[in-house]
Amino acid sequence: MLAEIGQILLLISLGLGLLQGVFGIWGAHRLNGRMMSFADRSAQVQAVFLVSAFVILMLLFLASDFSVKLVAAHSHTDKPWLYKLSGTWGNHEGSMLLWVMIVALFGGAMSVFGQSLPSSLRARAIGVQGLLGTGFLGFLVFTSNPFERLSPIPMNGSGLNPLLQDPGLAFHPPFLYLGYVGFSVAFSFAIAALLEGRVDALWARFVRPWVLAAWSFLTIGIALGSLWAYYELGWGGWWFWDPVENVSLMPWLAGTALLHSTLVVEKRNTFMNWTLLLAITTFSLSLIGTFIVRSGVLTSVHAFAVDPERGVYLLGLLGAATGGALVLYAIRASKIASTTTFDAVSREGSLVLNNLLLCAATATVFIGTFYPLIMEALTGEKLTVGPPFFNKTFAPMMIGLVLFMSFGPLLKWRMDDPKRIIKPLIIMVIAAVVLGALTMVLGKALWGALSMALAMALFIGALLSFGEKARFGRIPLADSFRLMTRLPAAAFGFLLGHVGLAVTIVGITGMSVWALEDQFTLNPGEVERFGQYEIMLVDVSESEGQNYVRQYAQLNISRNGEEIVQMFPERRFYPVEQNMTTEAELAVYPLETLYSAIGEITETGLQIRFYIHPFVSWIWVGAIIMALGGFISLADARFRVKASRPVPRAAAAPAE
Amino acid sequence: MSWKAFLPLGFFVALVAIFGIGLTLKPQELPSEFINKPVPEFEIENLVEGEPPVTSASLRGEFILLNVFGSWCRTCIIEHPYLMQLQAEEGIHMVGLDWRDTREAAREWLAQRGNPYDTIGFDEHSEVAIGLGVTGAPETFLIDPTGMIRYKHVGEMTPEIWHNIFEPLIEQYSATETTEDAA
Repeated sequence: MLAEIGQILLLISLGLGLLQGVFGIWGAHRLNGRMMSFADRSAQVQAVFLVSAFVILMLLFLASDFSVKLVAAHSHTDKPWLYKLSGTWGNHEGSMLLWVMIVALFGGAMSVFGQSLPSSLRARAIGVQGLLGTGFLGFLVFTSNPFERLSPIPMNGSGLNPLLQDPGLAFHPPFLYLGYVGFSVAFSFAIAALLEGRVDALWARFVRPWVLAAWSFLTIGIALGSLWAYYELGWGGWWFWDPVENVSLMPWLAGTALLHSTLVVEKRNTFMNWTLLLAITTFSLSLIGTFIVRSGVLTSVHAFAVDPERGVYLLGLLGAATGGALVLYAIRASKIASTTTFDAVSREGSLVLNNLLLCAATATVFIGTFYPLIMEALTGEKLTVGPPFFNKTFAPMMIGLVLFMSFGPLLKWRMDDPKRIIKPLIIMVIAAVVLGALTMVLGKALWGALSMALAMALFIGALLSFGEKARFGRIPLADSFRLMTRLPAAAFGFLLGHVGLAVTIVGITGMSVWALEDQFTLNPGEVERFGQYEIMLVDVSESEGQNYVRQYAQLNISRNGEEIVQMFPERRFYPVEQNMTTEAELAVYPLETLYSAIGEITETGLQIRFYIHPFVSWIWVGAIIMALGGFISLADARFRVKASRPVPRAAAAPAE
Repeated sequence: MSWKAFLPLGFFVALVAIFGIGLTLKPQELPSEFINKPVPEFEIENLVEGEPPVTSASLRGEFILLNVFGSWCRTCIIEHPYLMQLQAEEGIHMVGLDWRDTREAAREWLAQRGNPYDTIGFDEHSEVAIGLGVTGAPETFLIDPTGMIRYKHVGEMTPEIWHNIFEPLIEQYSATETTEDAA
C-alpha cells in the first residue's frame, strides 16, 4: 500500500511540475497574478509530496519490504538500520528520487524565501525549476521507477556488502546532491533573468546565498568521498583523478567562480552576462556529472548499473536544459549590459583573474576527463589520461590562483593604487619566505617549501584583508574589536573560506611531498625503527566479533624512547561471506597521521605496513572550515532582500 | 545580438554530439575490431617480482578470463567475491592485469580479499591496457584456447553477465572447436 501511495505522489508531482513550469513562465509573461500564484503553491505542494515519497521509500527500506523490487535488490534484514536507511539512496532509482526531491525542495524554498522578490522574476524562476524537476521526474517514473513491486516476494534481500556499509559512504551522496542540485536555483534564476532581460544587485543578492549553500554542501560531499577513499582504500591515496571524482570537482570549481562573480554583480553591477553564463555552466556541469555516472559513457569506478536507455534520456534532458538555456543566452545576453567600469588594478580586476583561472582549471579537468571519449568518438582510438596529466596542468593553475587569492582581497573595488597595498604585501612575503625557508631546512624539498610559502601567503593575506575591514591598526584596538563583532557575516565567511583553503593546501603538500611508507615483518617483542618512531609488536591475538573472527596486533609506538601510543590494527575474517577485510588503525595528530595495517603471518613474522602522513588530516579540516565559511555567510543580513523595490542602482553597491 | 553570444551554444552542441556518439559506442562492448582477433602481443612484468613475465603467448590452451583491476578501483572490490566464487566453483582460469597501481597496494589488496588469478601482469604505465583498449577498471576479456578475444565486459562481473553472456560464448566456441577437431 505504501509503495502505491509513493507511486501516486510521484505521478501527481509530475503533473504539478509541468503546470508549475507552464503557469510560472506564461503567467509571468502575461503578468497574470493568478497563474503566478498557482506556480508558487504548486512549488510548495510538490516539495511536500516528493519529500513524502522519499520518506515512504525510506520506510520501505527500514521495514525490509521485499515485495518492492528495489528493496529486495539492495537491502537485507541483517543490515544495521543505518545502512538500511542509506540503502534508500545507495542505488540508481533511490538516488534519482533523492535528486528530484532536492530539486522540488529547492523549488519550494525559492517560493517561500522569495516572497520579497518581484513576482514575475520569482514566477519565472519557479517555472524553470518546475520544468527541470519534471524532466527528472519523467526520467524517474518512466525509466527507473523506485516503487516497482516484485513477484514472487523473496525471503530476504540480496544487498549485503560489508564494504559498502560505511558511514562516510552513506552520507556522501546526499551532500553531493544538495550541492549539485543547489546550483539549479542559480540556473533557474539565470534563465528567469534572461527572460526578464535584466540582472541587478537585488538578483545577485537573492541568488548568492543559494550558491553559497550549494557550494558548501558540495565541499562537504567531495571531502567525505575523499576521506572514505583515504581510510578505506587508502594506501596513501586521497584523490585519484578518477572520472567520477572529476565530475564532482568541475561543478565545484565553476561554482567557486560563480560565488565570486555574483559578489561582483551584487557590489558593482558588472560581470552580468558572465555571471549568467557561469550559473548555466555550473549547473550544466552537475547535469553532465549525473549523465556520465549513469549512462556508462565514461566507464570508471561507477557505482551504478549502467543502461543505455537511461543515457539517451539523460542526454536529451541535458540537451534541453543546457541547450535551451544557451539559446536563450545567445538571443538575450546583449540586452543585459554592464553599467559600470573598473580598473585592471582593483578588486574586480583580481576577481576577473580568479574567474579566468578557475574556469581554466575547470576546463583542464574537463579535457582530462573527456579526452579519451572525444578521441574515441572522432578517431575510434582508445586511450587513457592519468594523474600525471592533472598534476602537470591543474597544479600550476592552482598555484597561480592561490597567488592572486592572497593579495586580491586587499584591493579596493573599482580602482586602486598598487602602492597602497605594499605594506601588507611586505608582511605577506616575509611570512611566506620565513615559513618557506623553515620548511626547506626541515623538509628538504623545494616544491614543499614553495607550496607551504604559498599557503602562508594566502593565510596572512586573508587575515590582513579581514583586519582591514575592522580597521585594525587604524583605530584603537578596542574599537577595532567592537567593529569586528559588527562586521557582516560574509566577512567571516570570506576569512574562513580562504583560511580553509590554506589549511587544505598544507595537507595536500604534506601528503604529496613528505609521506613515508614502510613494510616490514616482526615477531612479538621485536622493534622496527621508522623515521623518528620505534614500532614494537607486543603480541598478536584473536577474538570473535559479531559475525567475524578478528586477528589483531598490539603495536607500541615510541618516539625517542618514549611510548606515545598503542595501536591495534586488525584483520577480520567473515566466515559466511568467505571474506577478509583489513581494519587499519589511524593515530591522528595535528602534524601527522600514523597509519598501521597488518597482513599475513609468515615464517619471518607478522607483516606490518606503516605510513607516516604529515598534515594529511588538514586536507579535510580545511574543507570543513571552507564549508563552515559558506554556511556562516548565509547568515549575512544583507541577503535578506527587502520588499521595497526598485533598489536604486546607485545604492546597490554598499560602501565598503 | 552578437555572434559571440552564440559561442557557448556552439561549444555545447559539439559536446552533445560527442556524448551522443559516446552513447552509441557502448563502451560496455568492445569495438568490433577487437572481437574475434588474437590478443594484441605484449609482454609485461609479473606482479610478483622474480616470477616470469606475463605474455600474450601465455594466454593459450584454455578459456581464460583476463581481468583488469587495481587496488584503487572501488567497483573491483565489489566484483572480487564473485571472481573468487567463479574460480572456485567453475574452475575457470583467470589472469589478472593490475593496472595503474603499486605492487605493495595490489599485493596487500589480494592478500586481504583472496587471489583468484593464475598469474598477474603488473601494468603500472598502461602499456598493455592501452593496447587492449581498456577504458576503465574493472574490465573482463574472454579469451578462447586459441588466444582469440571473444568478448569484453566493461564494469563489474555479475552472475547475470556470466550466465547470460560468458557461459553461452564458452559453449559456442568449445563446440566449434570440437567440430573442427572432429573434421
